[in-house]
Amino acid sequence: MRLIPDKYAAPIRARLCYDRISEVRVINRAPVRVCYDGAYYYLCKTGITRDKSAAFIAGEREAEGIVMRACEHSLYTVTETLKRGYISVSGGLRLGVCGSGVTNGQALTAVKDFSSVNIRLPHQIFGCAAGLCAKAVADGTVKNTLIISPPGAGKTTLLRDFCRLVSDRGYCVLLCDEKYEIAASAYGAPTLDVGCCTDVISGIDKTRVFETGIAHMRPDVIITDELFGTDIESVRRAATCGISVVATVHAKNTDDVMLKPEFRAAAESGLFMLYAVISPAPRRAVTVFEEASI
Amino acid sequence: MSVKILIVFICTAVGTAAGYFVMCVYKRNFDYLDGVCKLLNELKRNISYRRDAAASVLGAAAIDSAQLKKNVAEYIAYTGGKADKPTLSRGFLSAETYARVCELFYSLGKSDGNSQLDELEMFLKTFGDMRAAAETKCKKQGAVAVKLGFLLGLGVGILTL
Repeated sequence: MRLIPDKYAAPIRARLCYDRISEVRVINRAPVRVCYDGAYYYLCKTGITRDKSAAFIAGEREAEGIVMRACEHSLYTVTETLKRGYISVSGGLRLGVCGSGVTNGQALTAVKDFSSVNIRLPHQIFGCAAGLCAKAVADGTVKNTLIISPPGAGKTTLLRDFCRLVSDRGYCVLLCDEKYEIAASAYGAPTLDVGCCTDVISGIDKTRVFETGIAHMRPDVIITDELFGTDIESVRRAATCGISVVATVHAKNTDDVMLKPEFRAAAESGLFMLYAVISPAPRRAVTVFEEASI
Repeated sequence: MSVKILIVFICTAVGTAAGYFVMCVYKRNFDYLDGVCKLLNELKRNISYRRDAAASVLGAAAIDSAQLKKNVAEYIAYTGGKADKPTLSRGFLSAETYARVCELFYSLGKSDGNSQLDELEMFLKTFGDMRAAAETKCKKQGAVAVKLGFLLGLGVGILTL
């Protein structure tokens, strides 16, 4: 709440249940919206509404104010992530940020004139991954698992709980928290529960974590968020080293995943043994498929 | 006789104290500028490696000058609040020093790492020059003020007799 102006924070605090909010979207000079229970509403004095005319209208430079507060008025701390379109804030909050790029030839050097922000709030739901964990952990090993869902359906929440459950069973888990949103580490300690046997590497890209983590941390399982096609090779390398990988990918279902060439190749080679598909909000049901059924 | 000696002694002491007071005025200005230079070096060191937020670097720094402590506290309060600009108290600062200090605090955190380091370097030069001038003033004029105070006190004491 410290990120947004008091007039927005007041109705959220007074009228809404924090656990049911997943996003607050602010676009300069546009109505402020809130994703509540998986549906979008306008934010107004009395809470949320479908009536656009009652909504709070964001100021001309509202997005910039939020970005500055998010980086504690120190833009240099977030320049690199801003270039990739987001800012991680302590406590696991992630801000998607839009603005204008400043380029030097081909290179993007900075982002200026912030036009909108999407504040994404993390949630920890204890036990939500119990069903998946029961299927993924068998015979003393963790199966390579790919969690599939569209953005905002709860991939990270499921992954965090999975990490906690596997870690608390005594497996050495290496958590690659590239965007600080799974463990939400601050000053060297996770602020969200990711289990007692979890080593967390934050803010470093997956390729590097897979290389250094395998070499120096001897994990049983590597857990990471949002795989892209370019990361599949690292996953394959880990799997051939006898290390299990549990990761997420943005897609609606397994058919969508198979449209991505690298993931198709991975599926055909049997890299992932288990696929967990999360249905979109508000249902958010988790369906688990064995590799053979894909 | 002892009363006369006491009067001379008191006048001399008051004069010397006045001289010391003038020297302290110069000294606190020097302390302030010295503190700013130390902060700038600390910020440069931090941004080159850890890249912590400016407020946490400033908050953790050891500061001697009471006025600088106050200005840093005002800046930290601004970063934790929702105001557009930090409001800094002027205290004993000269108009020029105050303007430079405001410029420094307003510019903190407004650019990427390399640009911020360049800006800090520029500020370090400005404040370094101001500190050198304040140090000279403190040493020369401060010492003169103490001596003058002593002599003036002594003179007044003798004249009183």
